[in-house]
Amino acid sequence: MTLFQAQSESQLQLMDAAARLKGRSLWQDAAERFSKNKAAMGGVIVLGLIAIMSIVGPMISPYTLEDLSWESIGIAPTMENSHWFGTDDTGRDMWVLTWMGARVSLTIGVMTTFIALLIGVAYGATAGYVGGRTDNLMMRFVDVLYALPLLFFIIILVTVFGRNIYLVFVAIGCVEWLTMARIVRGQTLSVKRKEYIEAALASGVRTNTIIRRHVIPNVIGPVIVYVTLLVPTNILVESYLSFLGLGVQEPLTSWGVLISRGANALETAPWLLLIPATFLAITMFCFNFIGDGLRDALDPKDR
Amino acid sequence: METVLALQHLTVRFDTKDGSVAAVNDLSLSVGRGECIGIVGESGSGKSQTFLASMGLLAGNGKATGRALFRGHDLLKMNRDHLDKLRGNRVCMIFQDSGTSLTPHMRIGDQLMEILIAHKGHTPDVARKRVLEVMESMRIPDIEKRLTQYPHEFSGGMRQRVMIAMALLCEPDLLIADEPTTALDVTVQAQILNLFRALKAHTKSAIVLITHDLGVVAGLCDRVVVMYGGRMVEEGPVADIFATPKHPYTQGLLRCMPRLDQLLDADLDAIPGQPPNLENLPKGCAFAERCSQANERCTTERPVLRELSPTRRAACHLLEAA
Amino acid sequence: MLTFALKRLAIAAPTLFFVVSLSFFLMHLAPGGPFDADANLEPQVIENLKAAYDLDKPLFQQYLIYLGKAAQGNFGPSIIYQDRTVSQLIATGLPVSLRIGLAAIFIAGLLGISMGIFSALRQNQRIDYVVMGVAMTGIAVPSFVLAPLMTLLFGVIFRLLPIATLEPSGGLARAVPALGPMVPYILPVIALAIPQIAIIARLTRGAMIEVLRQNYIRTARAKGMPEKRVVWRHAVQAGLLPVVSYLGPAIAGIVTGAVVVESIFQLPGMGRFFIQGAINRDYPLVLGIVIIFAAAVILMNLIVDLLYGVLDPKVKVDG
Repeated sequence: MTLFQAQSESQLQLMDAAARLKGRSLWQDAAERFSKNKAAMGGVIVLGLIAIMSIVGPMISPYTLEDLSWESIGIAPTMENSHWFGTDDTGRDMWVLTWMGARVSLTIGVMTTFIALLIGVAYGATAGYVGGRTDNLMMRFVDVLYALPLLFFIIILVTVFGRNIYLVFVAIGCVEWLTMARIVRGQTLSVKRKEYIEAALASGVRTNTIIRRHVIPNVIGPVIVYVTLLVPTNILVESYLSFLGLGVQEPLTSWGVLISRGANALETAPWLLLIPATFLAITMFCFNFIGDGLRDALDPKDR
Repeated sequence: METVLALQHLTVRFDTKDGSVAAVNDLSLSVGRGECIGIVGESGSGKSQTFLASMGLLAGNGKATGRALFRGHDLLKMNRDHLDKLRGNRVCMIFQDSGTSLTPHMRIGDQLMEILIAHKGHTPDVARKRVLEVMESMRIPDIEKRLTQYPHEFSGGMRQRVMIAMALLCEPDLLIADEPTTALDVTVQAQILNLFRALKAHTKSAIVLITHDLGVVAGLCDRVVVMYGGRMVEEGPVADIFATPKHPYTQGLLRCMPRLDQLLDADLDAIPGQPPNLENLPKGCAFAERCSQANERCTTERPVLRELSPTRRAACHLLEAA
Repeated sequence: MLTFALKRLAIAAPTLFFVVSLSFFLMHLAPGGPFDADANLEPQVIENLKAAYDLDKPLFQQYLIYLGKAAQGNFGPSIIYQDRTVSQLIATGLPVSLRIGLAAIFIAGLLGISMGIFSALRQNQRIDYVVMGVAMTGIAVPSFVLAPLMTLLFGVIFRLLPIATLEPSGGLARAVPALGPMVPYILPVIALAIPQIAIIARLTRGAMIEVLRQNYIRTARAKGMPEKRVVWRHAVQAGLLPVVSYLGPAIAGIVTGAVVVESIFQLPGMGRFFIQGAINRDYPLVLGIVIIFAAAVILMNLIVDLLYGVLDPKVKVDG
């Protein structure tokens, strides 16, 4: 290691320390702003409750999905015999079904977003970091995909490979990474132009180190915001698929499946639609509030 | 001399998350017909906000109190329709940031002509003639073609000249120019200053020149107002201020000015320290922290503006003792 | 402007080709064929069927044959609707889908932009919160929830609008006969437009608030322009740019939404054929519809790009 390299290395470390110091207070600021945002905090709490209920909800009820009987078909929500959300047209308890559905819907939302996150970050960071013609080509490809109705590809994938829940995960994740890639690329590009990165490059700091230490911390803010908006989008996509009969299959259930069944029985048993639809809508609200709150907290210039 | 603009106890406050901040405090001044007044101060001294407030152009969280009388009518209490008849017509303002101050999706010609169409009731053809006339005096080459272009096709200096042309179209009674020549090179700057001089002499416009360039002030202004931390700290005729500055801040400003009669390697005296934080102004004199002559009284009691002579005012405890 | 348009066109053509190829190979990647489920058929019959649909040839040859035929607008025979070709099905479905889709885009743009501007001009006032609350609800309540509810309300309870038919019937059609053939489309169009109205309204509001804070708006006010002119001449055009760039994804969203809405309202549009085809593995049908939908989306994106060029003078120079 040359003297110059050693010097700039230590200089970099200094700047790094400074950046981390500043970074920490930035995150603290953001956390404080976020915690003052009532809608966003409300979203976090309600969403937390729904998540907890999706785990413990079915255990609270005295019924399981196997408890079917002629007497219990199409009961409206009642406190009397513990069918708090009523029963469906086959006599299954809606309370249990709703929380089981929540479990699947939330899991799918999170898992697919995670897949989209992996692909999007890898793709966007590569394009932004490598730059030049590669970047141009990669982003053109994203432009092309953007122009397509991607739900169709999910539907093709699902029809071709059979209807299986893991495939639904992968299919949604594989098509919903485009915006993520764009965001990550944009941030990477802007970070790359910063002088301290140029200094690091000039003094031969390894690419991996630069990406890990400088690029990722700067990219993370907008990515977090987008993630909170992508989870509800993906929950919706799954619901669309399930509604069309192409998503989650019985005996598994999701809010989309329940809404689909509820829609068919709307005239006689409106609660079959209204209950899962309400929870779906509340979840959408929560994620959107959290996303808006995070954006305001991380980017205070909009205030 | 007829007074064109009189500010009386003008205070501008902004609501922020951390409470209310006063950008301008209890400011009173006046400009007469055919007079040019220079407003001098560092950024954040409140010099721009004073006149944005007078024009009714404060940001949404800003609020102005006091009075801003234009020919006897209070601009601060005027309704929007009345204000729109004056703004751009009798009272014009030139902004400094020409890169963002022109509408990006409108042709330059349209942005200029709409002023005449709105205020003078000109037809587009008549308006175009007048626009060409003013642009010609700005020495903009190839004007006819230029008028059909968009702001991003203009250079910074060109855009600044368009901004100035906008303000001159209607030959206003009051022209407020916020750093009008900062972005221009020296020859263009001289042309523009000549235009201002002509406006002052022939149209008898009152001119307010907001600047930190004391050279421009010396060349054009009759009187100077020095602002610091949202308050006026000194006022007087331009020759007197340059010859015998009274306030330590004014003295400091003048010492910072490069002079041709000084040796090149003679150090310029920068004023030490930082401009004051408006959110947290000291109890005493805002300048005390940076003032080499400050005493205990300066840090505890705020000096009031006192008349030193019929034409001069200053706010400093030291002048009282002398 | 012309070169800009040509450049966009040069991207659109390969995009369509890419879509056709990707869909084709995806469809044929799958194990099993459309006739496997029908165990009652004699092996010889299956062989004959496969030959009729070109399924007995090597994949790449099938691909070339398909490309050649598709270029002439021939997407082959449908498998589930055995007496009709895919082209015939598309010919019956496309007008229905097109009417719903275009009407929904038009309404979404008009209402969304109006709501957004209205809200932005009243930022942080109570009415702004109300409008944005409504918009948020539009995003949170998906069309497959809205559609059945609206059907129940307007079709079953009030009997105002027809359900699951393209025949004009119901109270509204009787009361205002002039509406005639438009009546059956009202509910589907509303169901399709609502989420997009909501997104566009939020987008427009944000962009307008940002624009109204710009220096050039201050300049316009300083020039004595009345507020109406400040908003409509100096602000709106810049505020619409993000909305125009969103129109691309919006169109994709409307096309996919149409699939769901047609299924719910049981309208004989392309979306319904698509789902039928997908569930029954009707390759030619699914493929044909994907191509038509993709072509429509690409075409609309082309128009959106050109519109952007008109709204933003800087594009002309760069393009």
